[in-house]
Amino acid sequence: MKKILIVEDDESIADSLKEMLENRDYIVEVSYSKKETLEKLNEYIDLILLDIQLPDGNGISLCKEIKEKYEMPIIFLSCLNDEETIVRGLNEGGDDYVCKPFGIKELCARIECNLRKVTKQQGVYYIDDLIIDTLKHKVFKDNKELELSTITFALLRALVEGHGRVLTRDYLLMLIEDITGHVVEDNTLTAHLKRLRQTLGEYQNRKYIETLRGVGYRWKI
Amino acid sequence: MENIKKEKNNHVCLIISIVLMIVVEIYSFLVSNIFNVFIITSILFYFLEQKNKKKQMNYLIQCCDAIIEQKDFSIIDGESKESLLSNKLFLLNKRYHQSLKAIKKEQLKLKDYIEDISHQLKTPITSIRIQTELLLEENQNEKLYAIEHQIQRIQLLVNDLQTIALLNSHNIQYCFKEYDLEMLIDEIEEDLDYLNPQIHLNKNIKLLCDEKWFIEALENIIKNCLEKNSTPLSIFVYENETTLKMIIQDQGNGFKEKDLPFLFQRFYRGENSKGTGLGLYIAKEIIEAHHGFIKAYNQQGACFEIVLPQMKMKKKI
Repeated sequence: MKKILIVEDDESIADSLKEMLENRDYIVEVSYSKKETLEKLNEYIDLILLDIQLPDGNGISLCKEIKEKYEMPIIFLSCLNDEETIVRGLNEGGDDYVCKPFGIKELCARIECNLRKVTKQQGVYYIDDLIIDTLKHKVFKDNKELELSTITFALLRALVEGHGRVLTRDYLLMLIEDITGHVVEDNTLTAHLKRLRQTLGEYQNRKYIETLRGVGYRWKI
Repeated sequence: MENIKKEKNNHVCLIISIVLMIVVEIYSFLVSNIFNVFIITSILFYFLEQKNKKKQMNYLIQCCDAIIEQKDFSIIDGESKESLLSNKLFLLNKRYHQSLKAIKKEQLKLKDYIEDISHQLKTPITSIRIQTELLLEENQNEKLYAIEHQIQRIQLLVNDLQTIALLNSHNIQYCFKEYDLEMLIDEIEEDLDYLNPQIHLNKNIKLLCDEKWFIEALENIIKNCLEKNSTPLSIFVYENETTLKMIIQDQGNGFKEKDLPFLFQRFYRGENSKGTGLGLYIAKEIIEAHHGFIKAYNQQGACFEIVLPQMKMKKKI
């Protein structure tokens, strides 16, 4: 059973989230402030739901502090739809985010996504109906090989390795620049993603990759 | 001795008489041509005046430019009328910029209030939403479904109101860049996937706009069409040197005549409309912030026509 830490200063929200998660067989701890959070981290935690606005500090800097010592995924609960704040949070180590007000289904989907570890055997990822061989740079869908360029393969790999984690535009642009060796335009990223999507097609009528406008992309499991 | 004196006298007389003749000539010339002289001197004065006026005008234009670009300009010293004008302009400039500063301050305050209010609202809404969903898991009560539905409405309203307040506070830092219209439409199709959009674009063009806001405007318009009747949409683009025209047309029954004058008004919802009534209003505000305008009419279906200036031509926005 997975243990989740909820860091949220509004008691009403924190308590209802606790009930909701316990109904789904998670073990839940709650902390209402930055100080309490650091104390709770002495025990093992699988995932943290972190409110960006805390009474005694900023959620983003707390996230950075936590990620210096621990590796568990952190999902921001954000009241602001402000992309700047969200991107900043993600760049400081956050894995995912949900905007308030959110529903139970949405939050639970994000939690499951971020807790799921993608199976990797000797450099090969198995996910949905895809087989991604990072050593041979090949991708198979339904056992048929797909044609991908170096850049689109790198993007696919990054997204799959993130398994639900949000990859910011800046991060992906840097990835492309590392391959091409020169500065790349914003539009180029969008173009490559489009090509990747076209090549991958759909899985059970759903798209593999989700666009978060102004923020980035994530693998939609 | 007397001869030399006489000669000298003669010389003097000659000179005097020549001078007198010249004077008389000039005098009679002047008298007979006094009209012409008058005209010539008037013309001379006129040209001098014009040159002076031009100089003053240039100075005034310089002052106006400085005021518009928020720079300082020098005052003309002295006691002349120009000096007085110059001093007054300087004071005017100072007052104008003070009031601009005050307005900006108020707008920033307003933006802060809006952020505070929406933050305050979102927290209880989140709480109510989760608790309602939890209750529904235990007990599928009709009244609970009704509450859930109303919460969703409030949520949409709060989001839309936040957008409008932000737009009206004129505090948005638009980031204009070039985008392919095709790509913008791809993103909209992805967002509106649940409505099964079929959008056909006649020509891909490069468009200078703020991606986030422009997509929101187009999306609201397209959503409006698709929610009324799920027909394929055509987007026709026409370009010329100065303008860019976009016509979004569906194949439905078009707008009701009585709705047409009020389509873009705040909270105006047609019959059977599920939305907040703010989508088209927001779209219009955004298009106007892009220095364009939008109108709607019926032509083999509902049509939205957006006209935007070719921003590549403008130097200052």
